[in-house]
Amino acid sequence: MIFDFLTEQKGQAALVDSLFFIAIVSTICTGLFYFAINYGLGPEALLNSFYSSDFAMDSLKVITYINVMRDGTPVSLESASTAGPLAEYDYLLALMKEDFAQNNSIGVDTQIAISNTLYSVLRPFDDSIDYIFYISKESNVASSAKYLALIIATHECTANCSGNIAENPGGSSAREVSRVFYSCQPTVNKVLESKIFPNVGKIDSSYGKVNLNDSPYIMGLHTWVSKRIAVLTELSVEGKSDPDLNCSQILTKTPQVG
Amino acid sequence: MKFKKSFTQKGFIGPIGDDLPSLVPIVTALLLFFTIFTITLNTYNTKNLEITKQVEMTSVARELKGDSLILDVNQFDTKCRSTKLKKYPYNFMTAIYPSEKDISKAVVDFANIASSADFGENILKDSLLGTDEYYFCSYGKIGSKAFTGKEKSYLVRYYPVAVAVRSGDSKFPQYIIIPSILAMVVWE
Repeated sequence: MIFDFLTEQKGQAALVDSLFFIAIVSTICTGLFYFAINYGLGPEALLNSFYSSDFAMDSLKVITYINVMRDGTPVSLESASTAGPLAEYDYLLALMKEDFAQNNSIGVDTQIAISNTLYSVLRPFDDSIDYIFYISKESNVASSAKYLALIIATHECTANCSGNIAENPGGSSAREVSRVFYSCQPTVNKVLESKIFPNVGKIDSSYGKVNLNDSPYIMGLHTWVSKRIAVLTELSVEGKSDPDLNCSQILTKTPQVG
Repeated sequence: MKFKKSFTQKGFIGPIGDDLPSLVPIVTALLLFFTIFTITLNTYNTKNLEITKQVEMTSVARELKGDSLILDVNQFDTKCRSTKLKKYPYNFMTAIYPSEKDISKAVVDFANIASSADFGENILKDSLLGTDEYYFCSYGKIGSKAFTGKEKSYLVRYYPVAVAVRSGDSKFPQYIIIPSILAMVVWE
């Protein structure tokens, strides 16, 4: 009886077929939409990662190529063109090797010269990244106690820091954020690996080899997108600075306005 | 008369009319499918173009900067000429800035160069031989438009390089290697 009723209803089979059809099409559309959203994300991330590592590697190369004044003062195009014939230049790498040969360490002056160079080559991204540069014994890359030089570059507010920007938007322009370089002599092993690297997010790293007194050393540069983490923001606060890192400020670069 | 009667029969809609309720979901499904398909195809093509653009940019930049040391403007020009021999599907402009110059204006500088050949004050140049030779390289595919900085999509990348610049006079030139930035823009 019921079959008779159904067979008498015209168009029912066609309607159910069309509903099946729309269900299948919806599934396919969902798949296509998912594909469209996710397509290219992998290659794009890979290319960006290539670029970041290229940039870090090029920065390391530039450090080994460039000239500085004999006293470690950076050389700019202007100073190079106005310097007299008696101006004394040297390679930054030669300065590092000389310093190491004399004292078996990399002194503060050389570290300032390295910091100036790092500041110059990483300028395009100076607003957005922080970084660590180190020279370490090849066999002890993971052991921070063996660093010959360890430079940490962070951002710090250096003028008009008090006051909440959200509460006082007009006053925000007066805030002055500078690039600050610290020279560190860690007192415990793997302090970077335990206190900094896990907290800063994605890190782009590059390494290079350098011979100092015929011994192989590793130069490393780690960059990451600036992030406020306690261990870095408290570097300048006396009494709060992490004793394991044992850092002292060596250079401050204030961005030029205009 | 018979024709008119058939339309007045109760329950009869007609050969199409019978299937009208099923036509609505079918048409909706087809519209949905072709819309999503078009969106997907466009996204696929756009993303592919973006990826190709980035790959090309990386390849050209690697070729131009070599080992990140540029000895003089002639070496840079030679590299530029060899890069131009390849047929790229995109246009690019690249210039070297001394690190102390304002790199954030690179796009404006490129637009000015394209519109009025005005190199400005920021791009590194070698003027020891009397004429200004800029560390600048550009490539345009046939029929392409000049860069204006207002294109729908363009890519800008920076690479650190060390450049040997000459100081002193032409009789006793002195070569000093300074840190610089190679800026590059790629557009369609």
